[in-house]
Amino acid sequence: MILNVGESLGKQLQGRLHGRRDFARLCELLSAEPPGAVVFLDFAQVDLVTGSWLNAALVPLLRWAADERNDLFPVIINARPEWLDDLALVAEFAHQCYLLGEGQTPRRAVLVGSLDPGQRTTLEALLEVAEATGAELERQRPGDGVKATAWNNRLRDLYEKRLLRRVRHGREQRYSPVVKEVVLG
Amino acid sequence: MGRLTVELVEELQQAVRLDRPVAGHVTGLTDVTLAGLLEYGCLRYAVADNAVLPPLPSAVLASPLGQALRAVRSPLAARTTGRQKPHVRNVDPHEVEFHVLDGDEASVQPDWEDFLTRFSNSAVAAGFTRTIADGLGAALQEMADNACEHSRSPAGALVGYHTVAGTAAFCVVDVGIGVLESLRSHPDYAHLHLHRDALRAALRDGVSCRRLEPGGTGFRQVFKSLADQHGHLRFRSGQGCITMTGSHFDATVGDETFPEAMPGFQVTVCCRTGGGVSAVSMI
Repeated sequence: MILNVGESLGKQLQGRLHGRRDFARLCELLSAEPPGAVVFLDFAQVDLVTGSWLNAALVPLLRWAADERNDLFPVIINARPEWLDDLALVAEFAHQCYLLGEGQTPRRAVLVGSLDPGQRTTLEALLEVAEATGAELERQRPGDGVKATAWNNRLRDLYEKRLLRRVRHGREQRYSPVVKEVVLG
Repeated sequence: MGRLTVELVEELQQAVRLDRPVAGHVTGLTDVTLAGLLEYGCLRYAVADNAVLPPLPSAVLASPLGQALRAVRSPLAARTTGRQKPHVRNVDPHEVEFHVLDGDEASVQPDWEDFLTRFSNSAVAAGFTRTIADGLGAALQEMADNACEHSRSPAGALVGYHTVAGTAAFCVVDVGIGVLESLRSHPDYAHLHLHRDALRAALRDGVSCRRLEPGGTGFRQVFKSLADQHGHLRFRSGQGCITMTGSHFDATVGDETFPEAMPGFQVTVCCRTGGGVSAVSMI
């Protein structure tokens, strides 16, 4: 799904109180999406976004998306560079990560936000193989010295951050990146 | 002949504390600045004695700023009775205008949103680009949200803007609990004891009295909106005041002064293009 944010919420997204209202509206607009869906939030028609709005709208939206009852994977597309410093700051304060792409359904995205070294290694490993379970990563990367349980923990962390999708295969979870290519800062 | 500026308001406040008569000085005023007008309103609210601090004289009230102030009803304005200013539904530019924020959600109401749009349009009419004008509007929204959410002002908040060729200024004032008490409600900032320190802390990214959700990016928007402009900022709360003049502001710059204690929080943002009049002249 591609959600035209400017059309739905307006061209100027500013203020905490407006952000709260817009968070509710975004949930409403995305509520019909099936679990596991990637939703592209298109900011092409948005002229201005402030940090307060991001704190009040985007931060809770990512938490809402990660709730297992919703299980959605938001990707921000066509954001103007003027507010990316605010997005990075909010990501740091909220300990969140955002995928930032260009175009309509991008295969490539820039990661905004911090990952710890283990999470970063895991994301890089999964981007190389496109999809895997923790056990497969242990077998494929013996040189890393990481056990399947540890890989699985990291994969789950990245899933909860909405950077990886997963499907159940028997007793295992198989993970794949939300977009094919992620540029890590 | 006299002009009511924030400096004069501070002098009047000091004189009041020392029991020196100031009424004669006030009645002789003929001119006023936006910030002087609104900080005087806060001072009068705090003093609450017409004999000590009289209402503004007719010469001031006859000025464009005075006339616009008389359009609103507020304990911080020139008129405390009568009908409130009705919702102005057009968004045409005005040179000067005031708006009363009363209630937690006053800064998301349609009448406020039209007022905010008129401010941005007025800044464009004064010579700013649409991008800069919208950035200033976003800064005003942040300060208005702060007043509605945190001030606990018994008199609401009063907002005004003033635009002339090359210059746009706005003020948001309240007489609530002030920055120090607001921040101290958060355990991380309970150690603060000085208004100056609380003001300085509040200007930093990520500092907020909210416990359960992130915040503290409002002043960042103020600094950002003025980044490449010539500006003058004034933040006054309690016995603290920080003023900044120039461009590319951040939370660490500016001059600190220690005026007489004033309840609440008073913010003034003045921005000018290269060809604008001195920003300080509107303060």
